[in-house]
Amino acid sequence: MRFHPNIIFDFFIPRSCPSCKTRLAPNENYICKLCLNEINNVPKNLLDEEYNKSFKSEKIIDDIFSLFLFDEDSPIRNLIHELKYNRKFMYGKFLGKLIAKEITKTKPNWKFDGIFAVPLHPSKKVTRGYNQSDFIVKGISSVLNIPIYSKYLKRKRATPSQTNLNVMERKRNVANAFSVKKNIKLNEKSFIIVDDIITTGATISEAASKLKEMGAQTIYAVSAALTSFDTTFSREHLNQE
Amino acid sequence: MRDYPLIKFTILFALGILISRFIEIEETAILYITAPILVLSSIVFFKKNHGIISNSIMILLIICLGFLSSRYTDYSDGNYPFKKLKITKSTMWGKLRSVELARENHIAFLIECDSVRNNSITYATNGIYLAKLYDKNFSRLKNKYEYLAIGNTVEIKGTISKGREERNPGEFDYNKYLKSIGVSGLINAYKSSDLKILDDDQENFPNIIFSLRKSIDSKFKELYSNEGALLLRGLILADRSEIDYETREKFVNSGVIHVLAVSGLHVGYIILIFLFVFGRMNIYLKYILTITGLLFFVILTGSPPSVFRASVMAIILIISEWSNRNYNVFNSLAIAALILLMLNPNELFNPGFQLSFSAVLSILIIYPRFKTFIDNSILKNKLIKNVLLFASVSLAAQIGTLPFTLMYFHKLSIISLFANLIVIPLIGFIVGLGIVTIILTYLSFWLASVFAASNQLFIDILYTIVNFSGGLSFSYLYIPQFSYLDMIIFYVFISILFLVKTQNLVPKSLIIIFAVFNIIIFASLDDVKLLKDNELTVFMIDVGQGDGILIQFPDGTIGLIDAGDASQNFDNGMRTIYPLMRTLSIKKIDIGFVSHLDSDHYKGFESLIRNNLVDKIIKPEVDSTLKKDIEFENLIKEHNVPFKYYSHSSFVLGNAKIYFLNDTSDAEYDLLDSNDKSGIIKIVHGDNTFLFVGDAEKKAEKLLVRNYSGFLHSDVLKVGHHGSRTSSTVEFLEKVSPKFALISAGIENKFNHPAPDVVDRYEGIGASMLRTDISGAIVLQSDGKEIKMIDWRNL
Repeated sequence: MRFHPNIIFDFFIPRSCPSCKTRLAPNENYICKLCLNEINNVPKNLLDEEYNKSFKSEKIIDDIFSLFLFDEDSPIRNLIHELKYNRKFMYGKFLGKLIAKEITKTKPNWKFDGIFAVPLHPSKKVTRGYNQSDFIVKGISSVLNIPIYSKYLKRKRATPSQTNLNVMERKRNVANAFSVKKNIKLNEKSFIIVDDIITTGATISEAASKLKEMGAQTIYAVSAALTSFDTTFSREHLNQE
Repeated sequence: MRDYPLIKFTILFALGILISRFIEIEETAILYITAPILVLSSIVFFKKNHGIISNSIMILLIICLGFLSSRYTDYSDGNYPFKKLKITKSTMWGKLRSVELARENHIAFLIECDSVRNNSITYATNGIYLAKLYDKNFSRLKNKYEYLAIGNTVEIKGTISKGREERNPGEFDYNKYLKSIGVSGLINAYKSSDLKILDDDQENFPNIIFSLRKSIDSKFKELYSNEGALLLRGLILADRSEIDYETREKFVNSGVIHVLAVSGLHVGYIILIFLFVFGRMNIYLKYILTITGLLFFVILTGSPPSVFRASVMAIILIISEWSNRNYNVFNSLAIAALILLMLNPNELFNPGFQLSFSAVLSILIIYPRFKTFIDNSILKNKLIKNVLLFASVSLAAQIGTLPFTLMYFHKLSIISLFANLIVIPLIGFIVGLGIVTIILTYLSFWLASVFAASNQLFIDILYTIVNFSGGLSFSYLYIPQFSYLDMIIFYVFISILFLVKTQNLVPKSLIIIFAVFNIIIFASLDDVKLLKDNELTVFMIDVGQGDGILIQFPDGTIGLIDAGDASQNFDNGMRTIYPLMRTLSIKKIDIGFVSHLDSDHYKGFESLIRNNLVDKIIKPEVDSTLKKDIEFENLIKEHNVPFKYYSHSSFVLGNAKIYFLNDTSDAEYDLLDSNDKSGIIKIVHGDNTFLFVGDAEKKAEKLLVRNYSGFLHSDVLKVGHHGSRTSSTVEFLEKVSPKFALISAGIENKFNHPAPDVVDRYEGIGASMLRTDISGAIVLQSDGKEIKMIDWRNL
């Protein structure tokens, strides 16, 4: 066994896997190997299917990439929960790095000049303490060396949670929620825009549309997890009936 | 807990410290044991074999580490190096280690001594001394205070002394306390010019902190009333030494004394303020600023254990979020404890440490139970629910800290639950506004004074509430002796109560009843009983220079001959005699005998009378030319205490008889001066006889020999005038011929009492000398046949 500084640090403040709660070995980071292997990458055909269903018709988003499937009992669920609600913001960076590695592998034709995070409204950011997507962006940017543009994109309206809305309501909910600072030039450039989870794509499309208005040429939507709206929606629907 | 190895480590480490303190084992023996264990455990560690044997080896190793760390850091410093308890006219040289905030009539500071001179001989001696510089001229004192800087090399001329040890039963052992904080002794000087700064070298960092504390403190003085400034000094700068004894006792009675110490509660309030101010910043910046702010607060307050504990816990919360580690309150509590204990194992016995950790632990363990109980109750009203939840946090803390509060404050506050309900939120406002006013003073004094005025209102409300509730006679129960055994029993009961998961209310309520009984009844079962029923006990209290003798007559009547001196700094009545009464479970003094009107004899009575603790006074006939005598009589009359004068008379108490040998009708008696008119009290109990003569001098003795001759013979004599040369004439001694000669005198007192030739005289007639300046309190017990000396220290 090689000596790892985590042997000492873990003695003082232990780390555990956000999903199965077992102690992490000194050389494991963020999530245990077993759980990491259990998470399903999004198959290419599903990704295309999702793109065709939610983004193709609007012609705002040019391509999408998502790392994991947000299944009911997938470890990714716990990971994102920790990231969003338990102030474990470093999980964002971890996810970002994984995403970046996959992008270089599966999307070699992507060219990008900058990266945006879908912003939170300041009031929400204060209560949560940070914007989780910012940390995913930081992770991606550290691997791919892309300049971060997040500060130019603002959320001007505090919108209610999307969780219990249907597709149309979601679109209406986020309509005109974003704005882009006037003084930047996005002309003829390509960008990645990042959110933690893509469900219907309403939020990310709305944000991206503002970038396109400012002259951006290509926009790729990236998220850590992809959740099929149909499943969540139908479940909500069943619950109501 | 299974996933947090550090918790186990800390518990075992603390256990090792406890063992080193309470069980006498040679540290070298442990050292020899530890070496092979260390080898064994490292083998076990690398083999990764986790059986019973390897676990017990680990456990043993950690206990040994705790034991050794305690032994090898414990008694290394803080020992008083001199033979004489008090060395006058000494000069000390050394470096200023720290300076306390301005006191009313003195400056207090710590000197790192390098040498001492006395009688033109210079000794090199190390150690830290607590110096106090008094001066009647306050402005000169203030100048000195402003000029002092940490790191200065100074020379101070004054009296070196050892900290006061336990001189009377149940008394606070100041010397032990000083030792525990690494202070070897005291040095007192009485003129500003006795302190000279020889070299104004400064230690930059400590000095900046000191200047800041000084500056904040002076701002408080400008902005607030005196009591407000002192309160805030306690709350924010962790210095409550100037809050007077009575106010502090009222906080104790109300059960809210914990707010006067800078506690974890304050750190909580401060974190709230930080989160509010830094709320919109980037999370890294916010966390870094919060950590810096907390560290700054720890340094500013001088790092009391509670502040350290709370800050460490908050910082660990931040670190675990940052490095995605698991936050567990018990674990972070254990980390805080371990750091404190590794830095100084003695902390385990520091009341601040014990109170802070026991409070948090019991909140963590007990409060969730209350919460589920309240949540499941039929209560619907949200406000009432929240008030109940808040009260149960406070109740949980009180349950956990109870054994310690009883041990240190001897009082079980009955109203504390209600008092805390109001006081804790009030303190929140006061601390918050206090911090705001400090920050504002550096920006706009006017704005600061507006905030200060509103804060002053809260402070006044706080004092009004505490003065009212702490002044109520039923606010507390007095628990004189709460021992370690009582503590263990209490914690066992509480653990059973909260660990046994039974829904049945009967066993639970039985346990509660037992726990309460334990406090009130059992706690007194193992109490040491100094006073025996049906016997005569003469208890010469150590009141320093002066007299104070407590007597329990065979019928249970309590008499007190003199009550020592009382000055602004130290009132023997309230600070020595009253606590002793509580320790001995004495409710009231039935008869107060005032020998005469010298302050070292009567002054202590004043506060006792004011607090209605004396039922009857017997004193010498009033001397109308003496202002203090008239004032004293007025005080007696004001409080409706019946009194009479000494005259040739006697009375019976049980099977003891008391005689007054003052022949007031004698023409010669009239000419005597005050000392000679001291009440002369003879007590006869069966075959045993006692004679108390106050400060009677030669003339009085001559008169006594003439008038009483053989009747003077006594087994025990309270030596006249503290053994001064003015008394104890040979003729008188021949008549009394005591077996025991009691002398009450201050250690190395300035009058040189008792005089060596007087001591020789007593030794010459074969009397054994019993001196308070040597042995502290002296207890003699008579069953009517023989007189026994009671060794109260080893009961």
